[in-house]
Amino acid sequence: MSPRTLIGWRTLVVVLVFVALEGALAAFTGYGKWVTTEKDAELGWRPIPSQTGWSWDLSVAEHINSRGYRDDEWTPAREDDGVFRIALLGNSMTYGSGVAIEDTWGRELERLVQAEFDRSGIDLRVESMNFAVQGYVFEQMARTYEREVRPFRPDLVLVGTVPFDASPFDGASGEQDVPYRRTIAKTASHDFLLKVVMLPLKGRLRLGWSKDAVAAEKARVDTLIRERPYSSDAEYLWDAMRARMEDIEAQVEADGGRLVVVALPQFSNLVRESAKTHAEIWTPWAASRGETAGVPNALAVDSRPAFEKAMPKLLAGMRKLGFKDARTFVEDSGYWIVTPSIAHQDENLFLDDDMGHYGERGHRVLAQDVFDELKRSGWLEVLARD
Amino acid sequence: MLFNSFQYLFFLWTVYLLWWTWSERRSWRMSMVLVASYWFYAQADWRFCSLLLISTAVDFVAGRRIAAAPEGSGGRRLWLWLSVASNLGMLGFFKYFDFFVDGFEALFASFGSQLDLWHLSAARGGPLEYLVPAGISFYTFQTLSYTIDVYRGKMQPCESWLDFAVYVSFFPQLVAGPIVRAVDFLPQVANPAPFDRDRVSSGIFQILRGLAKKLLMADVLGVYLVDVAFRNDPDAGLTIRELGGPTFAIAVYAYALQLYGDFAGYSDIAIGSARLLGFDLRKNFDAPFKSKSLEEFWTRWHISMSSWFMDYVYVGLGGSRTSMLKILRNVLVAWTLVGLWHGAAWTFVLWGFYHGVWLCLVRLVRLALPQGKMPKSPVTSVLGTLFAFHVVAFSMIIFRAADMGDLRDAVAVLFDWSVPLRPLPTELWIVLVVGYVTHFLPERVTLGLEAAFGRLHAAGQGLVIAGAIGCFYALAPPEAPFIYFQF
Repeated sequence: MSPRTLIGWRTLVVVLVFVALEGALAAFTGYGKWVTTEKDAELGWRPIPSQTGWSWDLSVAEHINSRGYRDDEWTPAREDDGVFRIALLGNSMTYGSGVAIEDTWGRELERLVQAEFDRSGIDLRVESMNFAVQGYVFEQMARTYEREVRPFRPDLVLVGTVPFDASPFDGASGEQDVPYRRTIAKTASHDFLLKVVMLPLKGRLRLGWSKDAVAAEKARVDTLIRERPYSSDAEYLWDAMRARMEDIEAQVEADGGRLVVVALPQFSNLVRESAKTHAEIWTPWAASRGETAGVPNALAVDSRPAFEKAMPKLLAGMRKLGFKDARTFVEDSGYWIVTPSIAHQDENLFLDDDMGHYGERGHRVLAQDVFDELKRSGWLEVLARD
Repeated sequence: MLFNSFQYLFFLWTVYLLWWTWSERRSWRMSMVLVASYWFYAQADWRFCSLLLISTAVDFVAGRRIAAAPEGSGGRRLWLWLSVASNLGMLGFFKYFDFFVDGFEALFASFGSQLDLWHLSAARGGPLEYLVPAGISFYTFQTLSYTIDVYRGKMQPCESWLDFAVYVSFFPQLVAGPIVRAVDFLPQVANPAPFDRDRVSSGIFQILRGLAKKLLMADVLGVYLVDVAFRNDPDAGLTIRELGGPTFAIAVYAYALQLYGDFAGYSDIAIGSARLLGFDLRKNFDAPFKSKSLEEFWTRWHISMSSWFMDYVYVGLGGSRTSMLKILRNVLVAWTLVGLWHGAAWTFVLWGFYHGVWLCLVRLVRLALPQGKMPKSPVTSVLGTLFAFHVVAFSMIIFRAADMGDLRDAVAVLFDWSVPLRPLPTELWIVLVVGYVTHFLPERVTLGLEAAFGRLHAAGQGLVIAGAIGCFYALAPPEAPFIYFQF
């Protein structure tokens, strides 16, 4: 056998093995087709524009528009163009991780408002614009507003927020948190190994008792927000977020719009019956913004009661399991799976295999609650008239 | 270009194909390997190719002039010293400049004077910062061995500049050894080995074995345990002292294995790569933790470096054919220099000195034993192995310590067992245990595996290679450079 034949056989087999693996994974799975993100000097990261791919858990297909957001293309803003724009800022819960874009609370709210306008004879086309990006904290949302949302001069700006959003924004550490965002190989084999082997192994091998300086500080803030979010220690985080929120509110108002802070219910909070929520931060904040002609200048929506009302038996069952389980769920940042063996599983507003995100019912309940609050506030009429 | 990168895989594959395609054209294939080696070296920093060229030119000329000069003449010595001065001069300038600048400044400071040497120290961000050419410790020693061997009459000078340039720059061992002797290598360049299927299989097996040592053992232990344990940064949340003795002791055992896996893995890949082209490089590691004595350890660990210091420094100082006092002095000097060779830091000097002291003590103890050696028995073998291993493992704390402060903390914590062992993931225990168990397996097991691999059809070998690449890609932590690159 000649040297070239010898190495040729080996090379051929190695290439064939990898081509076969790549081909099989690409043909029969969604690996290699994840929606991917790119670095952004200002925002940290953002989805690469104009792409269609699969969600990280391969459950739904996602389309990213030419501006880099998970939505259809948007109508360019013109004076009196007859479009009532609702811009949504947020993280994965508003992005709609695990559900189709049509089932997200932004789209559902668009339909509800449109129906209300149609009923009231208001001749406006409602267009929701989902600017949410997975993993964003509030500072990133605020920067998104200033750079991307403002040119559209939306009538309503909704910020879907959770306590974690009060975390300081650090582009570098934020990226470490979501390693899949760095998927650049775009091969099914790489994605498959990354998800099935690399990340789980990395997670298991990480020593819980030591962290580098950046990770240690991040862990400190995470623990603070998770365990004592409303203690005096965490007040500095809320102060900073409140100040930034005021800043954004002023810009929204200057453009003729209104700002709504939606305190998103989280399962980890709901299972604690008497837990405080971040609505207790945002409700007084909104009230402090005052009113104009009997209409509040800012609005905060607390959807926890709506969620509790929609899943009473399941929550009661979960609360009986004890706080320890919920705590485990939060600490591991993993998925607490609600199986059919758990009673009243059909009430679940969250994804059964990912209790960190809403299922379709959850998005509907949330949208309805936000809509009811908007209607109660009288904003819809005022904004439509303006 | 790291050995554990796809870039190197394609590079080696290309060189292999060209090498055997031109098997009838010696000058073509040598020229090709020379160009490939310089290209390989330029990946780190192309500017330092000039140092490689200078070293090659000086020693090629020096070797010929030494051989041409009459025996015992001043000319021979002059050319030898020119070679020594140019090689050690380059090494000293690029690797030790800051070390000596700091030393002089400290010396002056101790007399109450202030000396600021041209602001050139790397620590102050001077122009020499980051300017340590890759592999300079290796190729300067390699070319030195050539001129010294010619001077000692152990070999004839190389007649072909091309052959000599290939010897100096041969890419598999250029950056981190093994330190190849001209007397072994140049004859293989002059008469390249014919193609041999078994040799190719053996080369591939050696490369895979080296990658496994590096990626699955050294890097996993290094990234996930050793780096964390040795960080000793109060801002990072955990200092060595807070870590506690038991956990730190485990980290030291892990570091011993990491250092072995990293460097032995590199050597395996270098030897395997050379073997693919028909070259035989000598073994650089031979299961060193099996050693039954400290002296044996140094015949099994970084063999090419320790034998270099034995042949050219220890023997040069008089070796063992002198009084016991001078022997001890020679040992101490040689091993302190071994330490300094590893790096421009006092911790490395101390590390070498520590080994020198132990080797001296071993010699003195042996003097007191009947017939000058330990009685042979299974018990003394096990005790000897445990003793040698722990002396070495402890020395690795010195080797790893960033400075004397870290070293103090590390030694103190070893005796503080008030903090219980911190939990470690099962996977890390598995890597640690499997690493040591495979190290102590009889050599026939590895040879048997290599033979079994060699018996496979090339397509079967292809399957094994594909599986191994998949495992390395999926299981190895993110890119970790080879530790010995810094030397």
